Amino acid sequence: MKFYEILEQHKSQIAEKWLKAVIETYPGDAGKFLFENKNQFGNPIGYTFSKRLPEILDELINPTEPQKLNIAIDDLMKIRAVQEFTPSEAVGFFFLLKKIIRKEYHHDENAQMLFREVLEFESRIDQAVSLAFDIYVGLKEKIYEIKAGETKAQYGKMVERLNKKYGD
Amino acid sequence: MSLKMKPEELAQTISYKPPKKHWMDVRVEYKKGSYNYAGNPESLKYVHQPNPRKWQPYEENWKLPENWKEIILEGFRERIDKFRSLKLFMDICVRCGACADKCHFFIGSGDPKNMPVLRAELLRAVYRKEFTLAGKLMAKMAGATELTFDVLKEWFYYFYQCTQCRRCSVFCPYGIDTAEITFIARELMNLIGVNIDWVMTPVANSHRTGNHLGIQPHGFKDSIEFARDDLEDLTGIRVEIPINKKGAEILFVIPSADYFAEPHYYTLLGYMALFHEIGLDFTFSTYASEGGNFGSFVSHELMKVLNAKIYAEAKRLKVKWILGGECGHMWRILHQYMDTLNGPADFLEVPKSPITRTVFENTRSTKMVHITEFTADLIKNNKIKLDKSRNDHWHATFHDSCNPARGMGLLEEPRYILKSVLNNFTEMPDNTIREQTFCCGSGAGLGTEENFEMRMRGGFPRANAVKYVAENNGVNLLTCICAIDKATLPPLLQYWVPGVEVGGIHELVGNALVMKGENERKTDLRNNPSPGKEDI
Ligand code: SF4
Ligand code: SF4
Repeated sequence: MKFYEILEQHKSQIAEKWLKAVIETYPGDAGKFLFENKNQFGNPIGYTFSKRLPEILDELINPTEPQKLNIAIDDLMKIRAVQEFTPSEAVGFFFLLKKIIRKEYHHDENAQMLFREVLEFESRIDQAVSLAFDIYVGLKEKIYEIKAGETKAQYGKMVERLNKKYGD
Repeated sequence: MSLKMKPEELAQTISYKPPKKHWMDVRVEYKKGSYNYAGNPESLKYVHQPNPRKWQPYEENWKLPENWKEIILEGFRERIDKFRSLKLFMDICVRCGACADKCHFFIGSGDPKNMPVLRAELLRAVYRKEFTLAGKLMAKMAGATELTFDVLKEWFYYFYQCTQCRRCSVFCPYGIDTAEITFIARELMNLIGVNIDWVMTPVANSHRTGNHLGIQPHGFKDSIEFARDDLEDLTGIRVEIPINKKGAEILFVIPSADYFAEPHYYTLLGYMALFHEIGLDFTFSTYASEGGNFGSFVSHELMKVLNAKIYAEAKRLKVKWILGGECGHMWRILHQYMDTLNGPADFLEVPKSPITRTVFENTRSTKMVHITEFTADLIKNNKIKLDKSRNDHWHATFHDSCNPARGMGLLEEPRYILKSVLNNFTEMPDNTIREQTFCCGSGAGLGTEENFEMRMRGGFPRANAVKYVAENNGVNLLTCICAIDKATLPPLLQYWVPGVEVGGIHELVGNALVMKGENERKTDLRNNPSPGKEDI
């Protein structure tokens, strides 16, 4: 069987394992809640990851349109970029996917013979990391912009008034 | 680290798992974006607070008084004797966990120390150690901790990651209010000069001039007149705005942001248009020029000091009763504390609407009416003419601000008004509104620039619900009745749900209000073309 077929077949188990591994990047008992509570509004982190990770995996196995990958990664990076992670930790959850696949599927007898496909898949993951990293940096820039705008709005009307009164 | 690392290099620097030690024992690390700067010594001096000095939370030396520990423990003991609720909250938590996943800071961060039960545990552990026999004898087993500098650092980190929103208390079977525990913890830290600038400087300003920015009476007057001119440009009607008018029937108190910040300002225009239209005999006060009370974010004592001006000005101006604007924590203070702090307001009359003759029985003791109660009553009695279609460019939802909603139970009036002034309204999902509303993530003094990331993750549950109605129903306006919300929700939405704006209820009232003798409205109060007038 081809490597991609194996992945395709085990897609949902892989996604589940990946989700668990990502959730474990949160300390203590948090993971249990993030994983178990399925409410879209009561647990938006858990919900977003359980929705987006399978989409990303799907797109990595069968790339259709880059935009899909972009949207899914953007949703996740928005969350990671404002949590207490270093930049590498924020995007690092993609490597957890590599780890899972290396551990569980590289040893498949048939897959061994298709080393080229394995490499190719891993490089797709690497590309996703680069994309995630670009998005991360973009979000940090956006944060600076929003902060600047915030200060302006906070005193906006006063500045306008003073300008009118004392300007020109 | 460099942002230019290759993915493979990156992978090597990652620690996938939390530290090996029990995570409760891990020392708190001050991460950028997650804490607030320390209180400016000049501001502390101005309001006579202890230990004014230059320091910052990320420094190793906080320049504490030598006997800081005794000061805190003594203060703790005093408060346990004084507030029965505190003793109860310390003793009765059974750690059932019902509150654990209800805090927006936990939900948005995944940091277990943001679970309300564990936030409170930071204080409770010291309580057990110092004030219970079991804790003294068998510290570890009883979950007791000695008060050390590391513990103090955790207090500062996590009690300034609580917006005192009270969502957790709604779910606690024993009614434990973690917001009150945060109140006390901040108060204890303040005894040794550990507080934040975004609270202390507005406190000092408010004490001096009445409002957060330190705007003086002539500046206040200028601002209000500037708004009057704007309103005239928009409607063709010149309204009268009484300031410090003795003998007016009503004193009107608003958050100061209403006259200098956006989008608050449009709500101010809305109030002015409304009061003119119904011919209300009211006055502003240049000293009660701030509903907000940042004193309540640091100690009961400062809360009392800042709150006093409302009754004092009502007395000085000889009004009959008080009306309050779209402010958040002003209402929580009014509802929970004002009567005992600075009351009784026996020199005032029970508020009665001069337009509808409705007596606001619910305000019999405080003598202060919420603007949405007042306006809802006008609408119910058909006293104003409204043209909903003037708000057709908006599809609104309503964010229940924590304090009016959970702090005083004001849930129906804002909705009633909204449905009367607007054709397109959609509620957010049930577990995110009314008593269960999610906080903006920036209340209780946390709306600063330096802790921006913390605010974004704390506000994620709120934004996530907005996103849902924006994507599914086309909502493009998040309305609310709190000045902190109006300041902090716009950046939150720019991050999570770009394209959704924030506005006040009386802004929409002002848009819809048909005024006698007005010019044809070509724009809304924001000066954007009115619906159907885009081409003019
Ligand atoms: S009061 Fe609000 S912010 Fe504080 S612990 Fe409870 S839910 Fe969290
Ligand atoms: S819900 Fe109440 S009793 Fe249960 S853990 Fe939370 S504070 Fe304690």
